[in-house]
Amino acid sequence: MTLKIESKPDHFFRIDLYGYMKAVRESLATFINAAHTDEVVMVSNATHGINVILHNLQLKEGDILIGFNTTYVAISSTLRRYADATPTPQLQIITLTFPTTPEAITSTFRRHIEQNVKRTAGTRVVALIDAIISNPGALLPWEELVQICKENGIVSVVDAAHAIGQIPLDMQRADPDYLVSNCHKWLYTKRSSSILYTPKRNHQSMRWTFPISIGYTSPPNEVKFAEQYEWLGTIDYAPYLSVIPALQFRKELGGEDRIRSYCHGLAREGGSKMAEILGTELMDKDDKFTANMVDVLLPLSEEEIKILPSDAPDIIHTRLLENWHCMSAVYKHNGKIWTRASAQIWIEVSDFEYVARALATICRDLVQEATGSQ
Amino acid sequence: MALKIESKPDYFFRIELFGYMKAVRESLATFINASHIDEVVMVPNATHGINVILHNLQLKEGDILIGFNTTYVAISSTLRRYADATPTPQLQIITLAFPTTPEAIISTFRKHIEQNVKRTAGTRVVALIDAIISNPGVLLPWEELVQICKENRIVSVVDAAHAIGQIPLDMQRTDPDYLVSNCHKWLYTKRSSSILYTPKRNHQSMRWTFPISEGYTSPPNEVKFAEQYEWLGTIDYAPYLSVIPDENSEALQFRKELGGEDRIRSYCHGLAREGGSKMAEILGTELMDKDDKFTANMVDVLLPLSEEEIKILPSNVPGIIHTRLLENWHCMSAVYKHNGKIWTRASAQIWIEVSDF
Repeated sequence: MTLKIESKPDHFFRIDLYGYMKAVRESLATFINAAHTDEVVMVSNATHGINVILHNLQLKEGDILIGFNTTYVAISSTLRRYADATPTPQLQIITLTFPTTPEAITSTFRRHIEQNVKRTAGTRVVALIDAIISNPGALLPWEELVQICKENGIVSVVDAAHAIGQIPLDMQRADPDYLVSNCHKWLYTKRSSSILYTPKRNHQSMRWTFPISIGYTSPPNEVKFAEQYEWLGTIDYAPYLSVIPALQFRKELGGEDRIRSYCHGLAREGGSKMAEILGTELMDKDDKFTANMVDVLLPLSEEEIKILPSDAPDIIHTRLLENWHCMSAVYKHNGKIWTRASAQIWIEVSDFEYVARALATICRDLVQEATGSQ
Repeated sequence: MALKIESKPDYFFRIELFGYMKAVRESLATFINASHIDEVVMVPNATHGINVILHNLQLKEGDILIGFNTTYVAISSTLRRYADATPTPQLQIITLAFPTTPEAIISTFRKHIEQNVKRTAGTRVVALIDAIISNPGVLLPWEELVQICKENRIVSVVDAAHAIGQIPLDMQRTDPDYLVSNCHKWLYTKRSSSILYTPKRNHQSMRWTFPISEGYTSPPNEVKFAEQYEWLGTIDYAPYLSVIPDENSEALQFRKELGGEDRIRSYCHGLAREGGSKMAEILGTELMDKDDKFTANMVDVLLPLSEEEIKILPSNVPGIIHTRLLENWHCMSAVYKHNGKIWTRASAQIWIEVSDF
């Protein structure tokens, strides 16, 4: 595709592109069961998508913005940016601590709303809901959370960055107000390509693309949601266009169920082996939150964590990459240090075992270095 | 570079990227004579750059936003978007009509400011200045316009989309308040890669990247301009990295091997003038810029369509001509309406010659 674009760029950009992009959006709209092709547009990444939604919501003084402590760092920075600016919405952060249960999470959310969401006429309440958290790599009962939002007149902005290609998405069933998901994570497309989904009922609230480009229509003219996103300045379109071959490839592999089944099974089995080798435990013992990622406790006690450098997760990342040529995200949560391993179709249980041995060695070394230097 | 990134993506993104990007910004900062490497960051394209500047300026009621009728369509849409929103700045559009002279343009700008920029204390005035316009493809006396802005306490936002690699850029000499330029146009980098230049004095006014990411610092903490732009979510970094020399000779290295900036400019400019003249001859028309007052590497030629003929043509005739050029003749020359006539803008590049014109 890149060769095609580069060999006749003017022809491609002026004549071919529109048809290709329509096919991309059509296939993705079908894939996520959106009611209409024009509810799906492409953006560069989920962070951009969430930002452009919040940008358009134009939160004002007294509006309420709800997030979670487990929100991805760029998104929590974004929520903070809105809380820093005037007009100033009220930022409320709900704390989740894993291990927990889906029932506890939905109950926490309901309780928070009952106790903290006090509104007057005209107050807008917006909730930033993760479908699958990043650290830990946990699948949330997000569709129930969206439902709770609807019951309470809360706008649901779903950061489903990890979702497409990892879990089934059904927009007509879940019916969020907005949703973004990265195709370059689990859908096998080229980096970077992401969907921004907005149901037709919310199109008129999405007047501003970022950047603004030729598709911008002044109020009170109708917002042409999908049309605006056709051209936002020159970019490399190959990543967006890689959606079609990616979807085809997934079909050839045996389809979504087969991919999911392999990856999920591998996550559970691989995770268990890691816990065994590390002498620790899984965060999600009962498979309540596992899609294709698994979180395992690292063999570091609370006392040991206290004497380690504060950037221990990054140090572990560097050693995994430099010395062991592998990677498993390491992060702090609820006073402990965990690792999140991702199961993919090109790896198997022995890879999880390898990573676990690497982590065991690195953790031991870190503790020795820390106690040695005391 | 793409192979390098894909073979060890975690390693690349977590360990190598920062060093590579620093080298890219360093070479570009040197290339445009910025006083500090941290005055240059990469963004996907000029449209994005201009939008993020205006986003941060936070224009309020009564502020004045000055643009030109010749501004690129995406940017004029952007100016309109700000005029549509509340708080509502006052949008003033200055009309330029080519052919004209650099002196006339400067004088028009000065006159506009004298007559239309009425300010009270606290009024901000921002001017969107093109370095090289798109349609027509003309080089403006933009450095003088920036100087006039300084004399009148007007914030200068320079859309130099076409400039880098086409004309010399010297930030320390010109000293605009903000400037963007597309490296993927005339600098031969991979699509899409653009610089956003902000002198240190304006860093504290650029707190918001778009999107916001982990580098965001809440007020009143210092804005770390360059640091914020290090990571704005996952993207393909190959276009930004195509700026610097690598084992495979990336864009700036390639330009040196060709003979350097002066040689490239000299060839392209000469070709634009010669090619344009030949086109005017064949078309039986004329050049927009007869005296080489506005020509960098692009040339604008009148199409042989009288005003009566234009009246009976479909209104989207430039689009129709583009399609026929591409489909039937496998070539391209931008066609546009300006000042009641239809023109074409041809670009001179190192891989073409007079016979192509």
